[in-house]
Amino acid sequence: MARKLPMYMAIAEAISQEMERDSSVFVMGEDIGAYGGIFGATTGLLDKFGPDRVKDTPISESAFIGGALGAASKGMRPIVELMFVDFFGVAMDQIYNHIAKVTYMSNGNVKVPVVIMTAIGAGYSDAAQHSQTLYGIFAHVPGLKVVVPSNSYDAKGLMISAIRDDNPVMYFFHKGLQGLGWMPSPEEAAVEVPEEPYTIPFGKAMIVREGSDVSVVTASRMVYEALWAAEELEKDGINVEVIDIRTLVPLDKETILNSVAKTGRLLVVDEDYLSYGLTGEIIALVAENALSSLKAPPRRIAVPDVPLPYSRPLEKFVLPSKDKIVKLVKEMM
Amino acid sequence: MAEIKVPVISTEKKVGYVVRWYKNDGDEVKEGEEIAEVMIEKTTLHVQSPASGKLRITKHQNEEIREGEIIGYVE
Amino acid sequence: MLEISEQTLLSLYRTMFKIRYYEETLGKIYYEGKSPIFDISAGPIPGELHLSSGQESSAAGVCAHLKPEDAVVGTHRIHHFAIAKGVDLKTMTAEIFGKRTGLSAGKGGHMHLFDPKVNFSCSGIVGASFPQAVGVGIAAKQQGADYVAVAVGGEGAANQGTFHESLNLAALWKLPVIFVIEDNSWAISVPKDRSTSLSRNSERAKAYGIPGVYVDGKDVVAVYEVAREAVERARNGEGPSLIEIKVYRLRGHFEGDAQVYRPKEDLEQAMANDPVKYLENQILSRNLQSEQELKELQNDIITEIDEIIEYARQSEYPEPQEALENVFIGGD
Repeated sequence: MARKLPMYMAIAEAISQEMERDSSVFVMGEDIGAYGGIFGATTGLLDKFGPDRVKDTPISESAFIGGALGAASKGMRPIVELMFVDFFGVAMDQIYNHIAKVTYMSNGNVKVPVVIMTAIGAGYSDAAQHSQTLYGIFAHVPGLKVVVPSNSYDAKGLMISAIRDDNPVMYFFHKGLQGLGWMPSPEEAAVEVPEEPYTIPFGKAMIVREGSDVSVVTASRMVYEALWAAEELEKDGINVEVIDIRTLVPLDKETILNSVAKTGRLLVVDEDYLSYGLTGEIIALVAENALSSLKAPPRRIAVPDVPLPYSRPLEKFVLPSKDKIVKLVKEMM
Repeated sequence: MAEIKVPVISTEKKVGYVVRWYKNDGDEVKEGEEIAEVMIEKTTLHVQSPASGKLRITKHQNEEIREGEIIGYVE
Repeated sequence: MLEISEQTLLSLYRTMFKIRYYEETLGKIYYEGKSPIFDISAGPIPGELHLSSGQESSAAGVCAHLKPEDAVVGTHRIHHFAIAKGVDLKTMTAEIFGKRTGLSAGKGGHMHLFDPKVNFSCSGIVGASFPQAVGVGIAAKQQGADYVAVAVGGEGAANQGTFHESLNLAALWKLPVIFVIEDNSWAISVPKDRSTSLSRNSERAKAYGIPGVYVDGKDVVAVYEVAREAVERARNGEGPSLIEIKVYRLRGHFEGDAQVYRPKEDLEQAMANDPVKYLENQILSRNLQSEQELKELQNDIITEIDEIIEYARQSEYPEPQEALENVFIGGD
């Protein structure tokens, strides 16, 4: 029977089941052992599999993330945790020049079955260096798959798919969706999760709410802001379709284009920075392929090209929200 | 009828709250199955079912609880 | 105790007691609004908070030799160095409370404190302090000036690539940098013996051809002595040094950390090595102050801090639109 699990337990369960099934899967990262991961993603794994397969590392991201590549070249399937996506800087060469490119540079002769999972997201005053989303940066580099679950059911299926994928997968979980007792999270993100393992294919978006007036395309925590906005807009007779893209790379272009062909209006909502990112990408996709479907100019809401500020009223001002979505959709009608 | 209790982690009967139940009132649960999560101060504790049977919840999500307190029963 | 005046000793004590009272007070305030349901985003001090209780002697002992022109580049657990360096406590506290009267008008918060007047900066990225301190050293040499730079990191940070690159570069270019590693034994939940290939980072200095010393921070005077040599060396153009100070993390990694990974004896041992208590006992046993005088000294500091906290509480929050300001100097 299915149980309602918070996202952090769904992720840990996915990893656990894959580690049971395949002895080449192992986990490395900071505080992923006894602590279970700062955001719970490796809860229970050390007790179950021991320190050889669940390795706490020093604060040496370049070494252990680059190390994942080396281990993968010898048939291992490493999962590494980058504690906060904001820390990618200290290891980025290994990620974007090597892990992302070795398959291509070897013309497919070398495979890199590495999963890099990392925490993203703002909204709790952790300021500029601990609140970023940044998946746009990784999606921009060819060779990395980019996965962003918004609920525990998707989290487990996408993680199992990520581990089984022979390609490098960047797996971004939002801190405010993990369902940890000490960090607020929408309860709707903790859904029923089947006990047995299952996969969810990449490149398949989910229409989480059907509608006819506007397509709101989004991911991660913003899915909930969009759904709450849709509920409110319903009262004004505006029928909102919400699409959770689930993966940035590969992107489900078909679902997005079909939706816009139906509604004629596009709003992209993103917790990452505004310029040169996901919102521009989706709008370009629609402009190139479905311009004639549009009844109104496409719009977007994202963090307005400023670092995340610390003080609560400042942070609230820059983050996309239900209220901002409601306001903008009304303008678009 | 088996009692489902908040784990005891100190000698001080500290206060916390029910973070969530993984199963609903009336669902079947198995002995040893993880069925709930509570927080005492900032420690997350997973609660296992003491027996197999039907779950009866007495302390619901977000309700305040203490170490050792009964939060439900398995019938 | 070698050649250290009574005046200096009392000054060190004042700094250390100030830090302790400040950190413990912030620790209490942090939990306001966060119970019974611990919500990290709630209360007057939201987000993560990393307090330095138990590590006072490293800040006091090192900063005693620094001038305002000298730079301190710190890490996430750094209030003690900020206080010892002379960062304005009113604006620093207002910043921690996210108020408009704060050092960065609420933009930075407790991990991103910048006070150019005393050349203090810090950030939340482990290991980021080392290259930045090296840069200050480069400037000092270019400018022919005699200010120095202190980089502060934990023993966990000594395993980050930037640490090694920075030591090498500072040694190669003979820069006036003092690398301070605070060994509190824990990198969040990982103890030093499971993260570091040597038992002492001070040994690593040899690999870069610079002096490295290990000192027990229980005794601030020991830190003071070692720091004096390192700062003098730097100021005299003799190049960088590494000081590893054993300190005692009396609280969790961040506030709210239940420390389930930490053996009780470890915490008890840390408390037994409390540097503030150690110095207090020294002062009383050597009759430098009577109990009454010490109490008065403490009360003065308590009053000062309490007023500062009140100031921070009463200050206004910034206007939301201010979030868009000052990405660039001179605007877009």
